[in-house]
Amino acid sequence: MNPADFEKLLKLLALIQQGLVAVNEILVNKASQGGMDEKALSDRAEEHTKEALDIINAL
Amino acid sequence: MRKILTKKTSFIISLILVFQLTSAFSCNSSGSKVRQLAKVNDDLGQGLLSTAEILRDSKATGVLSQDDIDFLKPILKTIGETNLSVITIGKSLNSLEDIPIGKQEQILQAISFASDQLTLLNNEGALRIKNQEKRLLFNAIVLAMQTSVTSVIRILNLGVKK
Repeated sequence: MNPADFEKLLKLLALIQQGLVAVNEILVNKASQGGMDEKALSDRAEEHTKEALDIINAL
Repeated sequence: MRKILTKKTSFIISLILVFQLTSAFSCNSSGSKVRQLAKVNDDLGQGLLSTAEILRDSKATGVLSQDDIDFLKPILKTIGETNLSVITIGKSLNSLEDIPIGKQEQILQAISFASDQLTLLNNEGALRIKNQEKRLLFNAIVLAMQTSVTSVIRILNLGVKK
């Protein structure tokens, strides 16, 4: 494998890792919903959305 | 390299399917409509957070350019702000069946605007991004967001019709 392909492979692995982390976060989030009431769900939704907006604004 | 790209495509498709599965599951679960709406708000919040983290890393690694980010940023902000508006309205309700006409219009207007923004992303965004890898990532993000918004509209319609 030449260095250019190796670099592409590393970028791809980083992207896959990021994707797996995202899927894991979504599933953990989903799994925890059963034990939460409406208020707790709304509070967490608000917290995550605000955190996302902070990241988006900083891009 | 083509094999790698094929694997990457499969992975992104898997990511979309998992997100759709988790979003669809929330619509089929038991509980009041307000609770289901809160679950979708929660899904959308987590989805948006994951998307923002992916965009931040994609920008850092050069998968997405600043032009791509500048195009996505205002639209994702709109989605996030809409989610916050719906959360605020949802917190003030005991039941979707009790939504006053004014609030029904407010929610549906906000959601429709967000839905229009996603359609804009889907139509113009795909034409704008020429790079195949970038386009796949972009499509995955848009589809994930559309799934959540569609879920919210479905739940709102169920609540209003009943």
